[in-house]
Amino acid sequence: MNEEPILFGSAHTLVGVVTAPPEGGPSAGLPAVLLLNAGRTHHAGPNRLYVKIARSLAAQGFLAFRFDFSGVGDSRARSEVLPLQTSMLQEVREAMDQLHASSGIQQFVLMGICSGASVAYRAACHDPRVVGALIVNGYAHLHDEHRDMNSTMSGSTLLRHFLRIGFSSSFRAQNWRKLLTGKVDYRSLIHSLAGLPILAFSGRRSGNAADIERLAADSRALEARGVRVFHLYSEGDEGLDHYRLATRRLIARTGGVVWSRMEVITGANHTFMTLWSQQKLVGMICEWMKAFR
Amino acid sequence: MNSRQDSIVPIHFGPPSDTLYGVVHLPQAAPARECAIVICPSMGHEYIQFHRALRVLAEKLCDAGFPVLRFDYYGCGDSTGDSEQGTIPRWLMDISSAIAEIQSRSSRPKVGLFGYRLGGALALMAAATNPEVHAVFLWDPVVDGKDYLRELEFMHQEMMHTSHVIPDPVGTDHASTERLGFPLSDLLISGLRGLDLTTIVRDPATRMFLAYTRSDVRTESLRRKLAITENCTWLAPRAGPLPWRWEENFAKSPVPYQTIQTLVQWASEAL
Repeated sequence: MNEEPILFGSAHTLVGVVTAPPEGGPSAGLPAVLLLNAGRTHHAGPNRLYVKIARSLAAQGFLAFRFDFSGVGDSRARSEVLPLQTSMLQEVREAMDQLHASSGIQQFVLMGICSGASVAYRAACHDPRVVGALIVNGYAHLHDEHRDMNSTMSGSTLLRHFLRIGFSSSFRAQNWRKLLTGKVDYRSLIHSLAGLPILAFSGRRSGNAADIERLAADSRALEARGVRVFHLYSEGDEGLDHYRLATRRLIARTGGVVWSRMEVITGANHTFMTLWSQQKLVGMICEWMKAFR
Repeated sequence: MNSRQDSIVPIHFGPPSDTLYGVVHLPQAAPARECAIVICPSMGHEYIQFHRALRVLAEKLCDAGFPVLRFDYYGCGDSTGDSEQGTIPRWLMDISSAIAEIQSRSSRPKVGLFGYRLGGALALMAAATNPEVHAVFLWDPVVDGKDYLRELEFMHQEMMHTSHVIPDPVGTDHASTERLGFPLSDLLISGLRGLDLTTIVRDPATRMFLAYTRSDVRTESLRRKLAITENCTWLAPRAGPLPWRWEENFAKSPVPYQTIQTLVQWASEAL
């Protein structure tokens, strides 16, 4: 494994670490892998996951690059004011430009957890150099990036989430134990649940239609380009419920085009707080990446 | 918007086979200081949750004119090594490497060490064997390693009960104990069990500063042992849990600017 920390970007203020295979260079023809910040967690990733993923992929012959968006981790804030989504997409492009300039690689796979996952998806939709996107516990990309998720979608998802977690998930026993032994904030729980059924079945629906049409168009475009999209969710993550609801509505409305693959890691939470779930995640990613060889 | 005057450079340093990752902050516009600073982070979930705060600390120190190096220990963050390979003796060597690195890059022979939580304990231990350290700033240091291990275990069990996780469903044989997403090797546990800052022999020439959130017997014992009188402050705790308590959504935790301001002021007056 060879690693090199670098400064890059138009203002030379973004920080990242390039991980190259041990034999001195990436295997010819393989795409490079970009790992995008999970929320405000710096480029090492939650529980050092991005370091583990990058080094595992480098052992397979891939060049991997983990970096910080402006204002996150070790990267400076931007000097000009840009909407967050715009700046992140621009910085993903700059990262790809950097790797192309330094290694000649012209194709990329984007990966991220949480918000990084959604940025990976959106960047894949906008840049023809992207040949794969791994969405781990992300859901913001399932609705319009310029509008907060509308109340109906949000209410429906939360209701599904509570019902799933409480009655069919691997955590149902521990949740009921907490509920019955007083280890729950009852006031918050009642507040969260009180308006959900009404919220889930009423409210503005126009936003839903626009979101579904956009998702349909994006998924058709990605499929037409041959982009491999892998949605991977932790069983405990609310994103799984967002995904299932969005794809159900997508299929109902448009008759079908969905993304390449979706899987669930049973018993894992949003940031993979157990070593076994981290190992499982890294293994699944490495397995998926074999398709790009 | 960014209007900073310092330069930041991500680097590798230390032995070529076991490189350490660090970020150097070099002041460009502030009055030059005679001392450079090394920031010693904590480990595990504390390292992840406090990364942003330590970056802000580095920037504020740099604004005050100090060249600063913050870095990752072996087996942590972006440094080489698997997470199971970190040990106390190795991390003390890493601090010595970091001291040498910032001295070389800044041409400053004198160094101050900042340490948060376990980083505070390591900074104090490192100062005893590195004569170029002129001051140690301790921020909520781990005083007793056994207490620290108990705290980690308690938080880990709480996480297992409250988060949507289950124990390993197939019983994978992990060689290490795990705490809050990170492994603890037997060697590291052994090292932590033997950690007791109240037994450290302090060099009277080294200035000591202590900022602490939790006022308990061990912290008071440390303060008396180190004879820290005037350079000591109790940080008024914010409402809610202690700052190093594990939080699933730690991004909502505010950066402790007031504490950082105090630490920078101390450094500016002392170094």
